[in-house]
Amino acid sequence: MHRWGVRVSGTRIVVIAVLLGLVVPGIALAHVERTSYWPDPRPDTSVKPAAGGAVPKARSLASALNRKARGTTRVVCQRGSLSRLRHSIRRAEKSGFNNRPTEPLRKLKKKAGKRLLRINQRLYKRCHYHQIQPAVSASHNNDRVVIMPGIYTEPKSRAVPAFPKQCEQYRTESDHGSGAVSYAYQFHCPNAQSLVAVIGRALGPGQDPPTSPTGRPDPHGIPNLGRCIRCNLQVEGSGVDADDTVIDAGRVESGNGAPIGSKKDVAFKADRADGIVLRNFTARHAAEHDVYILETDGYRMTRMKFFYAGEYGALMFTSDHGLTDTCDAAGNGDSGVYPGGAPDTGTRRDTRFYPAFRLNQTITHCDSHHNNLGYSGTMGNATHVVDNNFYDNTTGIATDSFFAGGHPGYPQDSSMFERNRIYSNNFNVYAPGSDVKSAVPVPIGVGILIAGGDDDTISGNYIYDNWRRGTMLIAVPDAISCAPNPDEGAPPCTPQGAATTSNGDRYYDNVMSRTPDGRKMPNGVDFWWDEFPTNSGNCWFRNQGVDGTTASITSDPPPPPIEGTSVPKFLPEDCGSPSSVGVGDAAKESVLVGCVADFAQGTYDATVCDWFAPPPRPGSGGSGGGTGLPLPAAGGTVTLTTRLCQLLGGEGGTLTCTPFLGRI
Amino acid sequence: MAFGLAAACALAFALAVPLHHAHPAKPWSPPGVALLGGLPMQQARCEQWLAAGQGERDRALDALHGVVGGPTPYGPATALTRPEAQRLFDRTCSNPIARNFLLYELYTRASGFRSLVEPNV
Repeated sequence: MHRWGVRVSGTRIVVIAVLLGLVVPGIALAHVERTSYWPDPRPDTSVKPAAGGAVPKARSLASALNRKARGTTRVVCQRGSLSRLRHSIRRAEKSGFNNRPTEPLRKLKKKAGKRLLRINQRLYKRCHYHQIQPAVSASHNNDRVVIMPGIYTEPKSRAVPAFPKQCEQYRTESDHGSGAVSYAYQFHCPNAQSLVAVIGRALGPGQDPPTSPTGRPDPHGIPNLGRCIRCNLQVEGSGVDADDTVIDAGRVESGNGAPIGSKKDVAFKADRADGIVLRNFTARHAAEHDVYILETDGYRMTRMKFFYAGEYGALMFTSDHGLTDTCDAAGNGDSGVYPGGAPDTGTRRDTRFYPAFRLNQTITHCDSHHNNLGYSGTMGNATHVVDNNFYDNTTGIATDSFFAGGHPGYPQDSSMFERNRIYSNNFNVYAPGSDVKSAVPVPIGVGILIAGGDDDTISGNYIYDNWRRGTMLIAVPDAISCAPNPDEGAPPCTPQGAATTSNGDRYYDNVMSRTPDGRKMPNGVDFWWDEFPTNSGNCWFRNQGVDGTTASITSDPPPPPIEGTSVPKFLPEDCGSPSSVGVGDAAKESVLVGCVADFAQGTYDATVCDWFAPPPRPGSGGSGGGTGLPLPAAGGTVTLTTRLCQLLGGEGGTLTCTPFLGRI
Repeated sequence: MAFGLAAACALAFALAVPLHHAHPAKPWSPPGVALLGGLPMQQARCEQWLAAGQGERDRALDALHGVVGGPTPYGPATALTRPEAQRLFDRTCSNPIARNFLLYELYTRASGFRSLVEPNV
């Protein structure tokens, strides 16, 4: 039987190769949330200094002792905070410390250690809180919460039930259906879901606009926004590094590992908390997200660690003017960092709301490793991911347009991934005994996966030792968000075109299959493009391959015969050429069709779609397989529909449809 | 502290006990909110699907229909019928590696293929 003629549980799946974008498994699709909006990007001048409009500045730890400084400082401590700090200082002086694994250990100087201890001794005298939430709840605009070394489990928050009866009145109808938790719910019941919650704004004076699964208001601007009540808040640990202050939403005995034993959905949440600064602490073991920043304009996270969350280490949703700087994310079941539903400040922006092109959130100097995904972002628009390390994940980076209701900003566009090191993402999260529990199926062995992204830039990265593919670019046809609704009477929808995603993406100046120090560590293939019919403007140029030359790049389709040109059926290198257009590829589609079968039918059959079995090390001649997925049942057939062929111009009319239709 | 731990333990126990084990007092669940094994749809995974009774599963399927079938720029997102979703989860969750997959993630992905599956399969 032909490889892509596969029987799936006796059913006949109707598939067309143009749907290869639909196969994309490495996508953290969404999360269930209230109808969310992008905050007004202009600073809120009702508070001084203004909140939002820019990444907030952090105040020094020492300045927390200055009673004349703006804002009130509330200190949280435990009985053993100072002894824990002394131990940490001794360790840092003797053995050194770092903020993330790839950072060299550096020793704390005696003078700095003494100064840090003195600051903490003075803070300890001002300590009036032993749990964090009461200190946060007592805070106002411009205040600070300093958390001294210790492991904080927040017993009072843990005691709050997940579904307090008195809070039910604040549930709302949302674009996710009934039962969503509104902002008013979070305002009145901040600890139903979160161990620590910063509720940044009062309730608005009016009514929230109606929203429903069949319609939602324009996402530009938060309607019925209340006044700042905890804007410009700074929350920080006072230890040597983030290991000294820990917020644990689950099983403390597990340390920074598994099992997570979650007791709360979220460890630390900042909701409409414009201008918030989080610094120097660890959050871990949340059932969903370790740190969750929502509808916030202006945030800074620096020297933070996010360990072993059930879903995201750090989730920044519909937030603007953000900076995540110097972080360590590991063990997360979905992804280490996730700036999803990000403001559309890129090429597809509404210039009335976002007059100028702007990258709205930056992630830099982070190590995201040993996660299901290192980075992901459904509708992660105009993010700047620069100078990070993504390694030992199942897939390193994924960004996508795989639509899920409630993620504004479709399609994903305008992100910039530059000067990162993306390597050795071959972690078999599916292996028996894996300490990370995969929340969503992703392919093993991929460096960067773009699924339906437009105008993204991948530049100046080192991408090596990803055993399946260094990079993948796959289209997501609009049809995915416009498939016929099975409900009778559902409003009609009209696809806007078959290929409005995955255009204009540029890959250049990357070093592939080589480490920064010049060692050869090949990817399975450096660049992989699905050649989706009519996709245009994608280009790959000035990249170096395994021997340091452009000629040594491996790609599918292959590099063009003449460097710098774009020729159909070859990897385009001339971005502006009218020939930089996909024309389809039946061989690739044959594999992807099998993956469609897996997803549509829930079979996860390793011989139909091999993305969930460990790929062999390039050059090893191995067959991979390992302990990923079981072997399939007996084969069968995959058949193709004509409906989506017609989207591309009619049956038999495209390179993509023709070979498949012949096999029905 | 002791009270907090006790409350946390009680909550954890309430969430963890599979429904097919004995018959512990059913925890209060908010009206109109589907829970599976005590967990909301944001957290429900194959593990909860396998442990749940049919009534609980049906409520979850209805909730997922609403969650996933949200608005798109072109109309409501597609969603699965109850039998389709039932088959999806039964098949997927029977695979040991899928034990921790989130149901809504599986559902959303499969919804993308909804129109590609012949209606009576």
